[in-house]
Amino acid sequence: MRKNRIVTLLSFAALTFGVAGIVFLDSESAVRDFSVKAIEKEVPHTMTRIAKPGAPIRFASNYDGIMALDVVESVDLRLTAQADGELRVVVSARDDILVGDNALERVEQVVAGQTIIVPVSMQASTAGKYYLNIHTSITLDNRTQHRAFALAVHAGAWKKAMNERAIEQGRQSKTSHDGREIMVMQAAETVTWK
Amino acid sequence: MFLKTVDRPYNAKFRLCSLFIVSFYLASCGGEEGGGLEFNDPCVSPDPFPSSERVVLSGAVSFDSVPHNSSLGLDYGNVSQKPARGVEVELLDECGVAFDKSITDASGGYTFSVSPDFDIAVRVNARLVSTAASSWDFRVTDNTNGNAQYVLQGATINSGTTDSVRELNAALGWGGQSYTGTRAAAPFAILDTVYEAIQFVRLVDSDIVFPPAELRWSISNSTAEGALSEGDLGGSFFLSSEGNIYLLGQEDDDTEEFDGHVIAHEFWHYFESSFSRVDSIGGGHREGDLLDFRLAFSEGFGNAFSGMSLDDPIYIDSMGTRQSVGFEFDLEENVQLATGWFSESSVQSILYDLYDSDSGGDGVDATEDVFGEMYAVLTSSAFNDSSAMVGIHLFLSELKDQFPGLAAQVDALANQQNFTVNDGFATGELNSGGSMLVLPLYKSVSIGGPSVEVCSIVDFGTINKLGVRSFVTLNVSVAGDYAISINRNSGKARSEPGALIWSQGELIDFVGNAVDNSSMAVVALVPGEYVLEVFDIENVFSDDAPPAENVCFAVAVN
Repeated sequence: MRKNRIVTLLSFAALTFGVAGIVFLDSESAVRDFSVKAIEKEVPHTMTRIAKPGAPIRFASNYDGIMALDVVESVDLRLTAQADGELRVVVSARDDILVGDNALERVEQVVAGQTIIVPVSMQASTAGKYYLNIHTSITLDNRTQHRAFALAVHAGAWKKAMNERAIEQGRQSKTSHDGREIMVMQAAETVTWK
Repeated sequence: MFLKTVDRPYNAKFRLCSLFIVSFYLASCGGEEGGGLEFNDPCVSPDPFPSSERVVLSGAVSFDSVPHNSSLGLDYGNVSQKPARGVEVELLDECGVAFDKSITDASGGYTFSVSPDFDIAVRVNARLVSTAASSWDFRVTDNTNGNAQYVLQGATINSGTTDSVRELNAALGWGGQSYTGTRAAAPFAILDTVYEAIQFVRLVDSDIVFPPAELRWSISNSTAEGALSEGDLGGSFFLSSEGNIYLLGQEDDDTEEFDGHVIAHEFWHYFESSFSRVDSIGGGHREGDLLDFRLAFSEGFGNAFSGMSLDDPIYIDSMGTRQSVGFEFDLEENVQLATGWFSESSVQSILYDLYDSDSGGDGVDATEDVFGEMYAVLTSSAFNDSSAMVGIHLFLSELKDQFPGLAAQVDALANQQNFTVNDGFATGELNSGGSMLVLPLYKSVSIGGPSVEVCSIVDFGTINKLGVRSFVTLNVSVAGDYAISINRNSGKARSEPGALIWSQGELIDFVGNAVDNSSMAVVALVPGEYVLEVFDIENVFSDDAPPAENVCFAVAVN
């Protein structure tokens, strides 16, 4: 039995070598480069989150996540197909933040590596955190796979609004007698006596 | 403070409240529901009645379960109730203090012997636990609320003077078009899949001790990237640095609680991290991809494990508005979009065929129920301490070596997926995926010998795809400092060569600097066999071309 020690080692290596790089950069640089850049380049090897299976589509946007109240924010959603096929993109929001249609849909034949850009406009009049949902699928050889993406939209003084809402709702978790934090959910219960 | 009294618990609620006639205690004692009493109030719990005078409080715990429909979304029109198996049940006194606990059986049933005429609530923890020789402790917690554990709570009701039955159901909370109530079913649906996975593994190792883990789920867990504490997970995943599984839960986006295969797939990552060796580099992937062989093995095994543990070859993942769409793939499928040792689809096909009893009629799938042998390999020192990196070649070669009776079957299944298994280093492999630059999978360099050429190619994609990283073995017989150099030979004009140095799956050191087209490091090595994982840094870092382009390097060790 053996644990996966790679991540731990890499983290240790990054920390150790990063510090060493700062302290000993001049004397060591002729042989080794332990600079932050070099260490950061190793990030792809330290992935500790492993994605679940799904459509081979990557998502990015030019949105910084912040939106002023009552100002229309234009955002480009960039969907990059990593396989050939029919790419379908549906953009929607549970809250009323999309300007124009409540849901946008694009369907295109794409080749691997091709990026399609879906421009959207958003607006919010109330501070808070919203989500733009981007549902994608790609169909190849009659096989369709889906992948969902979302964009968090922080409108106005969203943190203050969320804090106020949390205070209104009260603390959601409770502390049980044995000291555990618990989230209590009511049971649907029937009781009969024999 | 937990006090006891020798008095009989006659009308205990009335008596205890009388003892503490203070306004806030009145509020506490006044028929609370849902764990309203969660403070350190000085409640008094009685000694139990003699067993001859006790009454039986029994019942069952269930949760609402939603199947998939023909669109592979969730079918809210066909909700059924399933037993909550193996979960922890506690009895609480009127002040919310747990005074007895049990575990539900395979029917969700529980039984307690309790004092009569005593106010009691039943609480069901979203926790699978066993303290026997084979033990486990899996909890469902809310990462958006301080990792608090979900509990399902019944009302505080007098136990009466005769035996009683309390049936508790964790409701779905679906209102027809959206979730309008508490989604109490979700934590128990998640645990139901974990229960299946635990029992599946215990079939081949009845003494297994699972490390404790949490399955972190919230109705706020979305596919947006951000802070885990805000629910912005980006996706469902196993977080190896924590040992916990994070699962999506935001409606109209992606929810996992009823996607058993997704949960079982993530459980596999917990399992391999806990009991075996993981060399996977992670990242995005799907069927049809030509992947880094380490990723293909880990993900293909995860898919196969989900089918084996749930005894269902159809992997389904639902998502979208009202969770109305989804996709599936059949683990029995032998015709793949990509076929070979670099394909997660090929890996899952072989492993599932080794497990299942359905021959598929293709004349190749002739074995079944081989998970015990797979488990033996996964946990063996030969596998975990191999110099070769973990991939399908290493796994199947060990399966053949450790269980020679399976060799012919393994070879047949591998051949069906267009590759051969001679050893863990893929010796003799001829399937290049379409680029001969990826073969042989391992090249060899000797100290003081000629340089060896390896390439970092992006023909199949970047980051974690086939050919982005190449592998070179290095045998060291004398301890010392060795200079490892990597210099551009051909390909893109500006490259950034790098390498990781592995020993039996352990990262020893790395080579890489900011100088274009050349890297060198002096590394202290003890005798042993090492693997150099060589790549162009931009090719493993960038999704764009350029800067991601094919490049070849000369690797030398002196």
